[in-house]
Amino acid sequence: MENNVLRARVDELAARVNGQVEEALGELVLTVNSPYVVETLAAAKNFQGVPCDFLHDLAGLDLGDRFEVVYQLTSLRGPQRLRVKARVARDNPVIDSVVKLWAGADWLEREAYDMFGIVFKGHPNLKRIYMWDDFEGYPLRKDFVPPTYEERATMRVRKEGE
Amino acid sequence: MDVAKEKELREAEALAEKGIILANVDKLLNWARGHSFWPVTQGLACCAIEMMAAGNPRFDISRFGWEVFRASPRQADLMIVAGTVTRKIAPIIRRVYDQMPEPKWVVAMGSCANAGGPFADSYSVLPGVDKIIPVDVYIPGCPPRPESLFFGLMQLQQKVANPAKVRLMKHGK
Amino acid sequence: MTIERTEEISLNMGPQHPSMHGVFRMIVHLEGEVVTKIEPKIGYLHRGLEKIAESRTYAQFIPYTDRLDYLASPHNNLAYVQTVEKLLGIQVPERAEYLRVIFAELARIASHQVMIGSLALDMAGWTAWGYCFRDRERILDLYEMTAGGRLTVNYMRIGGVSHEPPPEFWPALNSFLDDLPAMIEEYYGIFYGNEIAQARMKGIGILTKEMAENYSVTGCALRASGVQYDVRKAAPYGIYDRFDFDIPVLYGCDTYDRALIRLLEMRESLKILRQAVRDIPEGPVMAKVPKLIKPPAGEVYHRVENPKGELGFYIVSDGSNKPARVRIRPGAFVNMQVFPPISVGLKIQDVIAIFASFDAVLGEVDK
Repeated sequence: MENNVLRARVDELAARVNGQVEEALGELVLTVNSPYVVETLAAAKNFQGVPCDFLHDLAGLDLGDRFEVVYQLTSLRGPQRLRVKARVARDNPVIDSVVKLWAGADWLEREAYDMFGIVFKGHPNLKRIYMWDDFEGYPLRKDFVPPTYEERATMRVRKEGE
Repeated sequence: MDVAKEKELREAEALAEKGIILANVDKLLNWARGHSFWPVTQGLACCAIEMMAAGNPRFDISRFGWEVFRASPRQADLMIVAGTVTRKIAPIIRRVYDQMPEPKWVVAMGSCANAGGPFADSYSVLPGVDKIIPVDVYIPGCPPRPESLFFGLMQLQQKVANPAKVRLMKHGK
Repeated sequence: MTIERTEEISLNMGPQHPSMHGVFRMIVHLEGEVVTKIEPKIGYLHRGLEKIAESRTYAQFIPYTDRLDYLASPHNNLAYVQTVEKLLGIQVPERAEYLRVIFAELARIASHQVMIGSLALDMAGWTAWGYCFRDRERILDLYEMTAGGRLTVNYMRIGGVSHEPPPEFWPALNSFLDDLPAMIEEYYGIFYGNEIAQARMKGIGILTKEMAENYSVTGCALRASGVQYDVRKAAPYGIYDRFDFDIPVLYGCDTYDRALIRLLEMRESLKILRQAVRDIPEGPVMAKVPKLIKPPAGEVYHRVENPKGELGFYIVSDGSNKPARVRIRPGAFVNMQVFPPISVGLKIQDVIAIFASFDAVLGEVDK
């Protein structure tokens, strides 16, 4: 069954990139450290027989002591699914961008940068996407101090050329 | 209705049967303004869909005379702020309001435009559009039905027709 | 007269404009009337839903999901409650599953009607807009009868649906389903069969299969480029594996096909609705769910086939009654990335048509 084939491939990949495999509610989760992420995703995209070649989602996650970037991979050619989580250090959150593998990661990485401050090395246009350009702070971090009512009720000054 | 007003209306009706209407210019202008608002399309979120539904054959905003939604604020005199006002778009709404010529009115439609709505504690939402522009009528609802929108606009008609009773805010104050 | 030099202009199509899709802004660089580059700027409706989710309980967040894709709000409810049910391991009763399917497919029809109407309106075809919205009012009446809201229904709950629809619901639904085939024929006649609409849509905005896969495009735009993929068949959620319906696929890859496929999908939704009305069993509409919803620590990712694309929810729970992270993967957000590359070299009016054919709702894009 293809589930066993996928499990075999993921275990083999995990051994190569020092990752941990576990199963969460019927889905395989592969956790790696951030330097290995491009190698892991490129290998998962080209799995023999069960390629996980469709990037469904790219999300940031704040776990208190570290960040994680979560990639949800599916495929248009079969039922295979894989979740890859890349650990990113909290004090210097830098990770390689996967825009070369999937062009659809472009805005998703910009969103992770905007919300968490994770810097994606190699991204062509890493700017804020939801908040305005000179917004300070990264909203979805757990230690984000929300603005007070007075701050929110005041109209911001728009930068020229925004 | 009080007695004096009823007498006034009966006299007006008697004259109207002969084909004569007596009014002063102010009253006539206010009547005309109230019955022909030209809204500027400031539809932001879900309330905009109810505003569009109000313009459709079932609810038909056209029978009131307000169906001319102008895209350019220079040609409009009413701004229906329909939807959540975020801090990012606040300066743009202020700029569109400033570009409208006098006399102009603002209607805040929906709870997000009234006071922030369900998103009032969010880091990126302006708690009510009246923090940046003066609002004349607030329409509650999430989203308000098209009939609510009509009621709110009819209240605005009353406000426009009676400027002495409801002193309209001057521009900038 | 000789031309001295030409200059490129950048036109700001600002967040306040009549092209009916909300507060989308793009800076279009034009060489005359031909587009050389488009820079979309979004975020003007960013309400911080993901952060709000961390300070609301699981059940309190359901009305917020309505406001994501506000044209098909029961569908967003469905995506969220199914994700939480997966995390909790709750089995939803049969009648509730059928009611959910009925509401979800009605939402799909309503959303496609708005898309067709808006696409026609962007090309100044006011007739089709009026017809689509008038017919959509019948679906909104069904919503109002049951859930009390026209646009944002908030009808689904964790474990089932909120309550039983009233007895007037079923005759009204059946009469709507009887009239739907005639409505679809009418839309075809007014809009798709129109020579001007065809000239403005055929051959415009070609999105090849490879490009769609590379840019993670999902939903109708993917199926109009020749890929037969629908989450309802590939990874069925709820009881969709019991229904007999086809997945329409078109191979033209242009704006006309992206618009036409929505009409074909309405036909398939009609089939599903008829089967659901025929097969719905009696029974309770809500499972036995604890009053305080505290899922065990864990994470789950679930996706559904929204009318706009694939809506995914990734919920991380830490064992308390509030989620640690709710990630919303909006279908329209990811689809919009492909809109600038395919519009290069076309005229500015084509850009409007292409953007309307991707059917982006800014509530979903901006969360």
